[in-house]
Amino acid sequence: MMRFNKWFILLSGLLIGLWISRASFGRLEYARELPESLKDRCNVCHISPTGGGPLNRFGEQFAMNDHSFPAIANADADGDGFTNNEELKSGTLPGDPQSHPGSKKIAGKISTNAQIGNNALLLGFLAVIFMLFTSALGIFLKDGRFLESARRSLLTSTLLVSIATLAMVRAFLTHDFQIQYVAQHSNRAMAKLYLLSGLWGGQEGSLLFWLFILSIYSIALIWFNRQERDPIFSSIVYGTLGIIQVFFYFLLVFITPPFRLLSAAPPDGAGLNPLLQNPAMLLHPPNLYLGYVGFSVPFAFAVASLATGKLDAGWLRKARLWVLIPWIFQTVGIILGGAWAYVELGWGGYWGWDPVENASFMPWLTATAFFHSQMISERKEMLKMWNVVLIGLTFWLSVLGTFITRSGLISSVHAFANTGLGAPFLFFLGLTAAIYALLIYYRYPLLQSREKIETVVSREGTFLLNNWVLLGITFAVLWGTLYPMISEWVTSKRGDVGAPFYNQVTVPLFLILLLLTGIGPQISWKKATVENLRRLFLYPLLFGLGTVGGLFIFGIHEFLPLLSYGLSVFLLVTMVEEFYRGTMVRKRVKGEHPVQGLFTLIQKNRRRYGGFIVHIGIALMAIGITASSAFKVEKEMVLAPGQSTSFLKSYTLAYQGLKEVPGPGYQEVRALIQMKGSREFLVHPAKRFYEGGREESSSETAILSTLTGDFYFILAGWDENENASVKAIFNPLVSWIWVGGIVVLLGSLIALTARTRKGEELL
Amino acid sequence: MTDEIDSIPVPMSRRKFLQSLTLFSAVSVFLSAEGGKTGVKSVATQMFCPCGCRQILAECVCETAVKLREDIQKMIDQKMSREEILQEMVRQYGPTVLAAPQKKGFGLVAYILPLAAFLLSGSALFYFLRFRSSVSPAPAPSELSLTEADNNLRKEIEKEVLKEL
Repeated sequence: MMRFNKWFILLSGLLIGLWISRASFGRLEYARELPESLKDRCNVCHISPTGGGPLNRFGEQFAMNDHSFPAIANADADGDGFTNNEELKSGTLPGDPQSHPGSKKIAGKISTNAQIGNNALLLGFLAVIFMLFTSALGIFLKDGRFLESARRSLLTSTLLVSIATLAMVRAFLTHDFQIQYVAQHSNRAMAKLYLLSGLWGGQEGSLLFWLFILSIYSIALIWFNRQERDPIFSSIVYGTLGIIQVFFYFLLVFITPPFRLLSAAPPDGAGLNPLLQNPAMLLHPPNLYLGYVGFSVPFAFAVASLATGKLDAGWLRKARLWVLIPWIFQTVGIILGGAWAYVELGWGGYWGWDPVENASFMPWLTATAFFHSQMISERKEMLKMWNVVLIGLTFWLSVLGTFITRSGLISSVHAFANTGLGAPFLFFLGLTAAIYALLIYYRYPLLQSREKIETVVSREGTFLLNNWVLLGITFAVLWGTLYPMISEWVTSKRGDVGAPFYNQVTVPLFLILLLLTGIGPQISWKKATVENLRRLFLYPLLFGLGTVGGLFIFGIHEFLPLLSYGLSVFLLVTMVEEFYRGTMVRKRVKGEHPVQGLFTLIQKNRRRYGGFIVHIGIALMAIGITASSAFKVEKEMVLAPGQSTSFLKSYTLAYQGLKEVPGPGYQEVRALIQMKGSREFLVHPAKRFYEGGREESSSETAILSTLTGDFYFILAGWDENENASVKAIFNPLVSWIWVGGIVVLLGSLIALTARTRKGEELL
Repeated sequence: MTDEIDSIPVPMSRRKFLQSLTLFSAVSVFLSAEGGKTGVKSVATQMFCPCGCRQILAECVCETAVKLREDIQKMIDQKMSREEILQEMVRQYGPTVLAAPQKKGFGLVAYILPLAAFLLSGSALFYFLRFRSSVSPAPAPSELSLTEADNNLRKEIEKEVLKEL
């Protein structure tokens, strides 16, 4: 071990040397032009205080004018009211609006949080590079001691990134506004709980959080693998995770340092976006990140399997668990995001096909496709390559999601270079895709199928169609997300894409998916007979058609909603029938009471029946989504105090007036509306005005939720006479979406607890 | 289960697969067709609110959105079609006001590409799974070539099937 430590020290010294020389190299030529107090400050021209990476506005001006200072001496690069010349003379930063001769520098006091955070990140970076070396040596020399060293380096890196993350959390809790990120995303008026969400409220914090979660996953992997059986395989898994960590460390150390310091700490911060100050925002982003980042683990498995040639069904069984865990987090994250949008954004919807939403949805779709194709591979010798491709695609889309939302690419193709993240992300995506493709090419003979699909009318056939449709949806969403950038690039005009496009392109595919979800798990393997199909699908088909007919008679004549309801009921009945059949078999054979039989049935085969419960949840969600999208009733009104109006024939809305209510860090203006029908309710949609730097308000909707539908009220505005502009919406069956989401979660947790085979390791 | 392992699979014909592919595509195109009469909602759901909030015009509650929806109602009263109203909106606010690309010029690519990719990926899937496999088929398992590992696998599968029953 001593030898490794020497290596570590030598390597650290080398990298620190490179770091220092790199940081000082850029400014040598121009340093003569700077006053003495600014000669060591890289952030005179660069955004990063350590130099390198993108230039700030002064740096850009300086570069554009052939590095001639007199040409820009009288300009004001950062727009803070002081010319570049005035700022340089007084020793403040001409490219930083927060630093100007009017602000006083806190002499001799540098944020402890920033010092701890920066040092931890730098050391963690070195530890993970050392880990890559030892992993590589372990693989080539086939020496288990190197693997032990790699494992310890990964633990060290985790410890260090945890320290950096805790330093950032502490900086938020102690209002350490000398750290630019803290000053930009919090203020003193914010509730303590929301200070925590500042960690993932912006770009640098999000990337730090990404790395932190990846470290936690790495530790979990080491824990499950403490009985080491295959050191080479493990080395490659750790090495792959190490490479991903190196990339994120690189971004945090060189491109967007989260602990960047302001020359002077402002008395208060700008505060967090009011829309993010919602309880769902405390859980939604962490869940999404646990999903995104977690997909790195199965990717590492796939790389190790390809590299070692161990591509039998065993690796798929191990990978399944590591796909299922992030998939569950991603599902919870997506549903919570929908709930947050519904409650907080005040437009009556829950899914807007926003690029950020799309980014979370795409890897979820490919991971879902993997679960289904993996089942075929476990049972039959086919779709090996397909599984490997799906795992790679899921990881790649997770990183792409982070890339498209963090690089500025979506806002404009020209913003790509400004953030400094575009090029490194593109390089990383390209590199990982190229290496992965090469590995697949290298292992092509081992990835060929030994069995063939006989007909589409079989379980493997419908699962394959299911995969095809899921991938079709993924591509449509990816294409829609990137289209604004592509159209701007091709035609020089931006062509935006919103919900109408996605609905038109993806809804037909979702409907086909509903049908396949009902058919796939029931139909026979290999080839289904007509008798088999009749026996399995007669009742579901009758119920589905009955639903369509019944709804048609009751006045629903729109084609797509009718089809969606019919298919959802078809899916529900196939699943319920499956539980019924199994329970009845247990009753007949074991003499169990139906309730006991049902529980035993699920308990004996958690994976199968957990999956069926997930499908029931999907059907419930589909019903809720269809009803709330197609049959929403809206009414916009301007009401004077004391005025009443009718809503939905059987309800009266009586407006009583406005009321101002103070809250922690905000003032709330409520419109008091009495809703009279079979029962009476007082609802108060409101607007919140937050204290602090941000001149923003948020809409606080009033929602009365029932199983048949939600009454949803938005306060749009008011005048000096308290005449309020209010929008009332009736959203039918929207709560079925949340109930369906809970059912999906329950089913996936049951599937998660399915036992692995006896003696099978998780790595 | 034993029969499944030992039997030589009969490949699905290319014709059948292409039939399924065509049926799928036809259903997709049919379902994605637009329709319906022109109302404020049918126009306002096709546009972003031009106030900069990036919400769909039909859902936004700001003053600009309310005013614009009134303008759309006036245009409908003047017997303007949905397309004409959208063209008028593009003239006033620029193409970024549309929430979906127009079905002409490069905008047409937005709609064609997902469908084309869907069909092509289906064909590629078919090619790799069926045609490629039949060019260089792996040796079909037979009783004579069964190794100990194969026997263990078979026992394992049989055990799993019995457990499910």
